[in-house]
Amino acid sequence: MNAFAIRGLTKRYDGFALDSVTLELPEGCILGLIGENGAGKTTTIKTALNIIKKDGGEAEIFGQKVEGDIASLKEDIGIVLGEPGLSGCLTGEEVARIMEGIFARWDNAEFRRLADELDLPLTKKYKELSQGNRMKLGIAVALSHGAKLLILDEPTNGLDPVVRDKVMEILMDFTREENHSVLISSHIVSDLEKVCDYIAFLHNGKLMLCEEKDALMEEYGVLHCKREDFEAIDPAAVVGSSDSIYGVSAVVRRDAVPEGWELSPVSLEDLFVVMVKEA
Amino acid sequence: MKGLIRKDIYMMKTYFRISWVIVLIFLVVGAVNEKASFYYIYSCMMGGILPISLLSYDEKERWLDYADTLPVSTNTIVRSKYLLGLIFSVAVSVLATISYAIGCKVSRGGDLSGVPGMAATFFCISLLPAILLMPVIFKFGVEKGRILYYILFGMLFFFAALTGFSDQFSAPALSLHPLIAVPVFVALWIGSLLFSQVMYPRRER
Repeated sequence: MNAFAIRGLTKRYDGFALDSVTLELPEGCILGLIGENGAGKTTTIKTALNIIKKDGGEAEIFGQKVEGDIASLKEDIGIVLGEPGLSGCLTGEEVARIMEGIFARWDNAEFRRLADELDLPLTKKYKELSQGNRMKLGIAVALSHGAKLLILDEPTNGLDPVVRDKVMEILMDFTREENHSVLISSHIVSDLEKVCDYIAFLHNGKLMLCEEKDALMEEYGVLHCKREDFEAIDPAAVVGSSDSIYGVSAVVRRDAVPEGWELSPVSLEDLFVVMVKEA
Repeated sequence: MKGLIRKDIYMMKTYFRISWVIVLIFLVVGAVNEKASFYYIYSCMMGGILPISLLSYDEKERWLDYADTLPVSTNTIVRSKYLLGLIFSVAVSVLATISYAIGCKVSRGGDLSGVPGMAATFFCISLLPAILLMPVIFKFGVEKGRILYYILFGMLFFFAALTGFSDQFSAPALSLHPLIAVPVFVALWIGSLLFSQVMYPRRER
């Protein structure tokens, strides 16, 4: 079963449109939604959750159509959409007491454990926390009420590399439970490369691809060669290329490159950048 | 709803402690002042405006966006603010009534017959901000709601000025019939609540 699925999701604004996006996240997996700033990642998530009204398509969470008020469904979802909008006067302790009255399965011990693991001070007021600590607080709340699905929009924004790594570790721990799934959007591709099972590229409101990460790595490779050698390659095999004084560096489809050519593994970042440039 | 109310109480303790102190000072002044209408009206309006001020903070601090990610329905968000407003209204009108009754004993000749009517007036005035402003703010946000807020306060001060200049408008002439005024204002309050529940989901996000 899919933990999360959207089909033909469409939202139009003046000057921007989320154009019929289709995505599926199987249960127990992590799907990374990669896109540059303004690509439509937040719009995709908010429209799917019915926070903003869609113009077309549909969304499902745990097989249930997302329509109208989905307050009860949100008991099973941990959502982080950037920094949480909490009052500057609240401390982490008070936030926990508030959430205790909001989530039916709020787990205070788990919240404290996560705060401890993330080195998050619970006695400081929200207005006194750094951007990174605010994000940590949002993540700790999302993980402390027995959610089966995490939907995280740019959760590592403002975090230093050590904490980012810690957050990724926590996400991997979360998916150790068979039915736990994560949809995570980011433009920090290296974070997603570590943890995701599935990868989706979004550019200008359009979905460029959505595939298993391993299949993607097997499908594409990087070719380094001389210009004259490169010209012998079938143009259909080339996703994108760049010239330098050392020759040509190209992201290519492995199956369309003649045998014997040596290809190095492609990083998600390279693949994404090349695809966006060629789009 | 418990969590939402708890959040508002935490915020109120930080942001609006001074408002309650002002209300208490005004009610004490009202009790010892013969022409006390202004102090009572101002206190009741101030008590009634508190949930709206909390809503302004919610908008400014992006709580309303965050609440969209939590398992609370838009109806629950609206109801929690109205419930809190009702609690404040009851609290401030009880305090104003006590102050008025003490004032009657101390500085207005000891006649308590006007107390029930004035209690109704205090309660109805304290419900006014929620009745008039909440639907506008839930639909259009604080910025646009502020225009109505200024109009309402303009009316209050115009009224207060009148009560200051003319005995015609001072208590107990302001007294409302409790059995008519209270049900009418409660019905308006319920109507406003239902209207806000319809308007809030239509707010542009």
